[in-house]
Amino acid sequence: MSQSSFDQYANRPEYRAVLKRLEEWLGAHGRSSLDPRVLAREWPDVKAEQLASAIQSLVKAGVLEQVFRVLTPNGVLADGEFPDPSEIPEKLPDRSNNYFETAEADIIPVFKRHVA
Amino acid sequence: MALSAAQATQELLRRIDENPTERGRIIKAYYAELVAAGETETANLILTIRAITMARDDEKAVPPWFPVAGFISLGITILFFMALTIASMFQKEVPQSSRYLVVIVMSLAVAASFSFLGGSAVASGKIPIFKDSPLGFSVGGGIAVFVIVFALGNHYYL
Repeated sequence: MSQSSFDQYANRPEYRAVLKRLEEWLGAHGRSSLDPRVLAREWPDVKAEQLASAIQSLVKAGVLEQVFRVLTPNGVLADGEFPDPSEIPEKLPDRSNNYFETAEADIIPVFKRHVA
Repeated sequence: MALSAAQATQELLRRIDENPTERGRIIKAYYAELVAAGETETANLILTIRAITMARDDEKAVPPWFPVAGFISLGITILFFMALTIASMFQKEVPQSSRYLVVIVMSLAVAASFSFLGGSAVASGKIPIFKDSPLGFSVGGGIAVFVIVFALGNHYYL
């Protein structure tokens, strides 16, 4: 991971604080992927638009890579990552290997650390 | 005409509200529509905003079975004490050595009733406090009620 500050990716001044927190969070958690729903719960004080914009600015800068995943009817993410929602198949297996219709399911963007 | 992220999010939510069982298909179609219009950044942004708001809404909401569980707990508690009352009318009182168990049952039942009914009341806005954390109210309130009822029962009944 680059040591450069995420601050440089702030295209608007109000995102600086969020980007700084994101940088610290990614550094502290060491996860390979970032689910925005986790941050949404952990940071209730950050507005949804600000958090989403800060994450998207990191995607734009190539720090994070965006993929799409599908929520199973049980509310967990199904296996399979797709670069575009249009590539999501009509059916996917849930954790019990029962296939469900993705047309009825939520699509969640998930962000992976871009390893250069 | 380019949509703002807020307008695009509202439009997506409106379409999903119209047909919530087809949300996956709607999200795919709307994303493709925005990308085709050259609004890829907006498309990505609104799906991220939606994931964030969904997570926050889920956390705020209490499960739909909460009020049902609350009324069941309350009903069982009332029946339990009615049975004790009727038994005492026939000189079948709870032995002194078992009263501790009655206090525990009473504390658990009252705490569960409060927890489930209180949590759902907060979530639905009927109680204008802790409206951002009904589950926190439910758990914290339930524990507090348990401690209070247990202490009172211990003092007055044993």
